[in-house]
Amino acid sequence: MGKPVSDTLKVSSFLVFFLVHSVQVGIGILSFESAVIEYASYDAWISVIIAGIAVHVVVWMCFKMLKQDEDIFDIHNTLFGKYAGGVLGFLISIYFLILSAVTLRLYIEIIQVWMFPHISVLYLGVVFIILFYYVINGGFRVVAGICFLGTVIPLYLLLTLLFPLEFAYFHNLMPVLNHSVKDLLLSTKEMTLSFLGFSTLLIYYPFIKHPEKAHKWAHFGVMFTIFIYVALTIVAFVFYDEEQLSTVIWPTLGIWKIIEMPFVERFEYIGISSWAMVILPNMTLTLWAATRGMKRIFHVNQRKTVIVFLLIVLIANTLINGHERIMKLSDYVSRMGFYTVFVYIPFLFIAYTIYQKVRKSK
Amino acid sequence: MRALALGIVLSTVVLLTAGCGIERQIVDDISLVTAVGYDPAEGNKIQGTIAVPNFQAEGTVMTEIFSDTAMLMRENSAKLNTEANRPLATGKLEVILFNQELAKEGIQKLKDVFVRDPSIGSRARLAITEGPTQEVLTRQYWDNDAGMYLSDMLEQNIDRGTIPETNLHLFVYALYSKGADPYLPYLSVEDMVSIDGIALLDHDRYVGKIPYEQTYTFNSLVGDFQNATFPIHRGDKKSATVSNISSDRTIQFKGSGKNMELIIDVKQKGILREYRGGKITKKVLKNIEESMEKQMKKQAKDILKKLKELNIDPLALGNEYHSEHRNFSWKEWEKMYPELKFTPKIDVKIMEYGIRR
Amino acid sequence: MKLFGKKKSAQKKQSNTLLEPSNIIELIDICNTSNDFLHFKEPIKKQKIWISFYKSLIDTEILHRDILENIQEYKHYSLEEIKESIPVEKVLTTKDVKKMQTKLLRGYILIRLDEYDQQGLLINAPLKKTRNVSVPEVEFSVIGPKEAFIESIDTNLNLVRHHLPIPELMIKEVKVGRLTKSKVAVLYIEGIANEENINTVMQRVEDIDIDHLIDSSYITQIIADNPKSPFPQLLDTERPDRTAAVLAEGKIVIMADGSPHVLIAPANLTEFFISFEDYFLNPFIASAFRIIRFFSVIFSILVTPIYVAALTYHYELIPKDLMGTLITSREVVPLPPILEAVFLELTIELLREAGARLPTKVGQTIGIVGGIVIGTASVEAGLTSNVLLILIALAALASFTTPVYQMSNTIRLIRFPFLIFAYLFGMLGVVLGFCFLITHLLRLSSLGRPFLEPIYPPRLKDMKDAIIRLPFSRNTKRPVQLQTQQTEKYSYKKATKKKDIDE
Repeated sequence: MGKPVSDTLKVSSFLVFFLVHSVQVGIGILSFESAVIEYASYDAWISVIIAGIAVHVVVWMCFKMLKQDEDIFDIHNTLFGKYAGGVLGFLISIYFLILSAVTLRLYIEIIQVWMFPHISVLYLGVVFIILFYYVINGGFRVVAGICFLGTVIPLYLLLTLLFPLEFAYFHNLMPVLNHSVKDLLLSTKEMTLSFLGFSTLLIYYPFIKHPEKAHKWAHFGVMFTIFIYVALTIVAFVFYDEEQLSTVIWPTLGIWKIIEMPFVERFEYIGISSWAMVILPNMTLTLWAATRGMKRIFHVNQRKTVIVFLLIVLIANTLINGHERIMKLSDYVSRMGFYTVFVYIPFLFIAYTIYQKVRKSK
Repeated sequence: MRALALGIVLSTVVLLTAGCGIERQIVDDISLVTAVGYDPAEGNKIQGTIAVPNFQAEGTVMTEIFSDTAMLMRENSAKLNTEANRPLATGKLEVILFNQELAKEGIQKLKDVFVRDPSIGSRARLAITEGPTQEVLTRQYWDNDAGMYLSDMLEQNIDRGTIPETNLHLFVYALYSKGADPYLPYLSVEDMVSIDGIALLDHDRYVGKIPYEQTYTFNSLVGDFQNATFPIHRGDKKSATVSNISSDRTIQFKGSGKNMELIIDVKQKGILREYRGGKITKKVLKNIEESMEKQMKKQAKDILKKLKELNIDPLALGNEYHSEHRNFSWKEWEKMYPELKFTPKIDVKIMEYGIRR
Repeated sequence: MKLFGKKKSAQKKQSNTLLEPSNIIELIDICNTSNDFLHFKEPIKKQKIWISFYKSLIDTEILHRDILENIQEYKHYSLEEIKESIPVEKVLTTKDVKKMQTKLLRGYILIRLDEYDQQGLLINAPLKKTRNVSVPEVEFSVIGPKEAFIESIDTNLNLVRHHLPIPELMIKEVKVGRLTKSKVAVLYIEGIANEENINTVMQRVEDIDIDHLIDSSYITQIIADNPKSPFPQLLDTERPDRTAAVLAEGKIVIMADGSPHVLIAPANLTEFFISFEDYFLNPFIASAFRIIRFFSVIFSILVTPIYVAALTYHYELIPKDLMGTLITSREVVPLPPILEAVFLELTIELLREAGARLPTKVGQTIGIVGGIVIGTASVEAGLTSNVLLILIALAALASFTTPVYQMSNTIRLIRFPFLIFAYLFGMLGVVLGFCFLITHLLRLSSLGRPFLEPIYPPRLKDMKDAIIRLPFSRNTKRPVQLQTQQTEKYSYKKATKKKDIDE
């Protein structure tokens, strides 16, 4: 077990709602509709709910595994010993690092395509990196604060979902359940990728004040994410034709394009800019988790690892260019995330439960 | 120390701006293209014409027109850029016009440039013109810019129910949709540029139009609208004009297979705006309602017949059918459509008749 | 704070004054070098006594009326006898030369029986020139009490005690400033204020090492948790009523002699947008004004950056009806939007600065005339567009709605980084700037308590009196942020008890 986290650094249990939710809603929400419609077509909103339920189960597993002042690294140590556990922990850290790097690249790509085609990744990346450093340097309390404000402030974007309803074809959704279970599940798999990131829970768990109480808040967080995804899916489905949707790369941004207000004619520019605020919790929490992992395994100064990791993110971002390559990478990471969340964590859960049972019986 | 480091980092960032700055589009240093029109030109080329407003200090607007021919649309805009004093910017594009001759060959390939470019709004309006678009754009619209004028013209006519709502997004939606075909406003160029009906498209090809007289009925078949005016011609003494407060359309499919009957039920509420026959009584109102129903029904039948003949589905009946039937295949629908039996049902209620009897 | 701690240990050994006498003769000699020091022999009956004092510090009325007149009545053989005959409460006999020196400098009179006598009698006869209690000028309120603190700490303490006549009101005095030796008082209510907060404040105030402390704002800058932040982290007020109210809430007040402003700690961001007048108004009206104030702050910070961003990068955003006016007004302007905005912002800053430095009457004229003349002239001259002129004037107006002067300064300055961000990255830059701002605010703390509270950490209980104000009957708890020892102000049940109809 590591050094217990001092009480002044801990955050209230209900903030787990925002920690879980904010890291799930990120860059994927801007483009998931065209992926999810591929198999189940207009029934895919059911897949979104199924994916959400699967995430609920994994969250439940996480909370069952962890005890007071414990994180995934402690579990690794007890299960696999110091070295094998360390390697696994290292992989988890690297996973979060790559996740954050890809998130940033995907966001910068949107900026490049939609707003500033000439902007250099390095230039924009440096500004982002400084911002991330400033946040993470404030410690977990500030990261949690960013997660909170990064959820609450952009909430106004939910209202924008009402505008496209002017052009809604609700009969698109009918008839409900016109697809096979297999199609639904295939779409579900596509959808799970948009829920990733909540596994940071395994790392910040010791930073929660009354972790038992946080359990329900984590579930509420996932529920809120499901609500937002389902709402957005339905709006996208009634707004686009199926075939049209599959040709659009960023359907959510396409929805924003139709919004016209008396003082703002084209909302997507405001939406994309505001999205920086949604990306911020995503980036900072995953990077914080990655560096925290490094600290727990190698006992290195977290301030220094943050700088190193941020530089890695920056360099990785400048090296990956072009939509095709970015998509390929994002595909790899999604798959990696899928296996981590839906294969590795359940495996860990089962192994740990058996281990505890055996120990108890002894 | 740290402050110094931060200072260095920040100053490098600012310095970097000079090198890899973002393209600035200062609003008064660009030419805002508000309207664009395409006409056929010789040898598989297209002639593109753009209208750029030039705002004068005293509040009037001059329209600058640039026109050139090219094979591709972007090639065309690059060519046009060589004529302009400020870089052309398409972000404020309001109106996209196609010559009907060009539209007959299909506009699918032409629309690509508009849906690929993120700067073009989804609310841009498309229209098909009777004559050359160049003529539409070069017209003088008093103190207004051609693009803005046309955009306002289309918009207010949509609000007034002359034509159903159309814009780039809806056009693309209908284009992709298997169970619907797009339609666009049809502009005629005579003494004035005016909306002269609705252009019907088979997928992306212009195939025919609904004349202006029938737009009211077409509108009521397409969906809900209000505020439009319908003249009832019954000889000099009894003619009347009615404008509608509401119009509800419901679609019902009856029967199955080859005997499928499609009932389009239109329920309208209206206000009597004009009546030549003197005092209005209950009987007169009833009479007016009935003759309006009769006239609309006749028009509806004409329209539906035309749609069937052209084998197009601007009313999105395919989508409607799809949403109500499981185990549905588009092939079956395509076979079914030309043999469908349409039954329009029109019900008009006049609620008010102004401030005198 | 560590910094100060380190220095202190090294410097404590040094003497606090530059000239240190070892005996009384030297003391008199040192003092005599200053021309306002009087040292003379006064014949009383058959006896002569030596009187020394700084004439600039003592009240000669006390000397003549109370001291000399009483002494002259009969002959004295010891200082004790003199002491008994003088009707002044602060009198002491001492041989300590250092004490004599400090007391002389505080307005005491030194009386000795002989010129070479080591022992002396120190009589308090200070001359205090202070103004009368007047109407608050910075935090003016239309209704409610109209008294403000003045430069004298004793008067100020009196004003506060007057509001809170309870024994629990504690006043701890500390001397700060090597040269000024200013009295600094820390006020709190025992049994309500959090012990930890009191200790932190006391420790930080005691640790202050500075040569001169003229105003309480010095203290803010020294003891703030993050002195590098442009945001004030301690609230200052000139209103005794507000001071009493926050003391009752469980906060700690720091007063400095010579300063008409007192400091309130710990503070949070929302308090800087609360005018004390809000409590005199109906809660609904007060809440509405508070919301207006919050929005005006956001508007004031963001409006010019958004203008710059939209005009430089996002022309698509601009409504088409506005396009014509914007373009025609911009067309003659040779400057890019950023320079245009910076130019006009600086002009407004200039006007404000000039208005603040000049005498009141001239200042007002400058403000109005300058605003109108320079504004219209710069539009005519084609230096700015009139749309921007309106936006900037509104933004300036909005920034003045902030009731706390320190905060309104911060708000005025903070828009410049936003402008630069907007210039570099357009709308994205505005959002990035905002992200930096909220991160900064998240990192700030006041006495170790989060500065952004009750927004983050979110505390609904404290929200009752932050952005909106609920009626007194709903506000029965002290703020959670203060971690008070007694959380309930008054009984909630009693305050919200409802009678049945016709009862």
